[in-house]
Amino acid sequence: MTREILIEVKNLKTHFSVKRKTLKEKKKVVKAVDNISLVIYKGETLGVVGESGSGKSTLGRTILKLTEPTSGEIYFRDIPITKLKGSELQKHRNAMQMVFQDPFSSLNPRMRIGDILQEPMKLQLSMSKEERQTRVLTLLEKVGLRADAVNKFPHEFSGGQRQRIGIARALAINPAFIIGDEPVSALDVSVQSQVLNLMMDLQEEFNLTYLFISHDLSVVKHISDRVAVMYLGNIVEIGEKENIFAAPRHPYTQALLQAIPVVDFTKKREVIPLKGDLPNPMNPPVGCVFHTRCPHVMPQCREKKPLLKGTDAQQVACFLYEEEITNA
Amino acid sequence: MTEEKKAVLQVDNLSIAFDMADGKQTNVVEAVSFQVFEGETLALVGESGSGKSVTSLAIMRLLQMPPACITSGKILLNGKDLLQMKLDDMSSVRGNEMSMIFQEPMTSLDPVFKISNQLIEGIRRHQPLDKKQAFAIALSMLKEVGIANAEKVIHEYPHQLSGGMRQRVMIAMAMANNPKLLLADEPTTALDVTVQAQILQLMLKMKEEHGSSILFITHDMGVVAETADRVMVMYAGQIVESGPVEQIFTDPKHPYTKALLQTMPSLATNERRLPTIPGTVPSPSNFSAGCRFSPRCQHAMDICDRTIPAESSFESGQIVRCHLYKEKEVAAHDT
Repeated sequence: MTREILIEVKNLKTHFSVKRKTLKEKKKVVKAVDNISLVIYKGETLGVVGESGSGKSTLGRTILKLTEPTSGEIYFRDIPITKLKGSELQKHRNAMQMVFQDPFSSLNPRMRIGDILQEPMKLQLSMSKEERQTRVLTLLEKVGLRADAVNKFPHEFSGGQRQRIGIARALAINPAFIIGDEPVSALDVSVQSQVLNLMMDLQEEFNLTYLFISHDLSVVKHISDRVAVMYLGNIVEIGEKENIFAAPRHPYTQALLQAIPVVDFTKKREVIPLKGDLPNPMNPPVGCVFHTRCPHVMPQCREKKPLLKGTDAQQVACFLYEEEITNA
Repeated sequence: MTEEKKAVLQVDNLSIAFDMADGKQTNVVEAVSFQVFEGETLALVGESGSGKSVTSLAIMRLLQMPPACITSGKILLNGKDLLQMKLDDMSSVRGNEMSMIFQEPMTSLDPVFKISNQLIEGIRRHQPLDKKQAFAIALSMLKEVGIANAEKVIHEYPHQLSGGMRQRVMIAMAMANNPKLLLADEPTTALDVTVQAQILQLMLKMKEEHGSSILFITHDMGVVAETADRVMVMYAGQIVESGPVEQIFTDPKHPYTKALLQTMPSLATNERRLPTIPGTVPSPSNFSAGCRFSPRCQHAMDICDRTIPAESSFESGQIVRCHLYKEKEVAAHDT
């Protein structure tokens, strides 16, 4: 079990301050990422699931330092990138890329595909024009697009094809790590599976590491090796995919899995898994963040915040398992 | 089989064309016929661009015309032909005999009016009540859709509510006048899964209590399996298959339905690679003359490109448009 760690995140916090109406008002912050620690092993896919507002996108953006963390450390290949600035940071950033959710707004409508794909190469390496052009052609072939795409504009492509261009752009400068922020959510099911398969093929071929952010548990199940479940800025459960899906422990993970519509005509589902909505992130519950909606809430949940505990295979932040885990 | 059931909505041979940039017209919905029976939930499934939303907007007569143009067909609601009605008369039908819930709970409520005003407006438009009486109905509707502190929420503005709450308000508004038919166009697509489960259950409950029927438009096969009684699968403007929900899921006949069910990522399988449908949904300007799925179909034959397949009915209640099933074979298949 000695896997090489590519990225390690320690006590990461990203807080956004909220504009006050008057100076008298108390300072408010949204804790989008609240004290998260995790590791991403080389060559694996870590899936991050959560509802909207759970902070999963902010986590991804913070790891790439597109959003400045409030506190905490991020290690990329054991180098603390949180402290780096300027060209030093850029050097490491080149090895990390992102694929965005919306294939319609993440590509510049006025640039030809060839230029879009060359842009990242121009920004960093000393590649000649010819080298860049041949690289563009190999990239297009890798993501399954025809070579004549080079001279076309983004609007000439369908959503699925644009997402392939987005992936090609992320691959342009041979990154080691790619964050996919809901990369298939805007696509139709029949196209979604094509893009997922492509991402898995590329991972194998280039030995990529993925952080795959999605709200769709079934998609995450297909692509991930390990899964982290987020709720209101916290990771409530993290572990090997098999464990999370076969034996979810945190009440929120259980509810999330139950809420997915299933094709099963043998039994009718009766129970409403969860009541209410996600609490306002500006005013999160004290204690365990999930206690307002939890069916198993205990007095201590309202007072103390449970920490992630357990083995590497499955960690859960819930008092229900506190004793069992410490005894084990 | 369905003779005794009364159809609330009957759509006959509906075709809708759009003016294209080059001056030509293209049929985005072609010869669509179906019925929604009393008390049932009929799901209309398809990918984006399949024409499912255009169909629902045509039923509500909310299509922008031009560029759209209804080239043929009838839409009968309780026997009245909606397409023959004057637009003024339509507004007494909308929100009264049938109402609609939209995908975006953020944009379908007016941001400058309080929830109470928006609900009361709809109620008083169709019922001879004074403000107080309408307010009482509005409040009881909000309670019915499960809004916890309805007395407070009714005086709030839409931006003060969460997405799930707004969709509940939309449902309250849609059901306030006891419509016979509820059109729901992707009502849960913008919502989180845990909230989606609540809203779906609420819609089915409201349907039972108010004795309505639902035409449920969605792209999510999982949602269909949980809510619908019957399913219609639409592809590029044509209904390729329809039938009872269990039949469609356990024994799909059309290659597109089969492929759609296989590509759906599911929690049940442990397969890492997903089966795919090659290619993408064609744009209306390059629809093939025959079966529109033929360019992506594994079983495509010569005839598929040239002629539109006729409907083949099965004993199971399924109706399929595919050249694979010829009249004779259908008989053989069923025996």
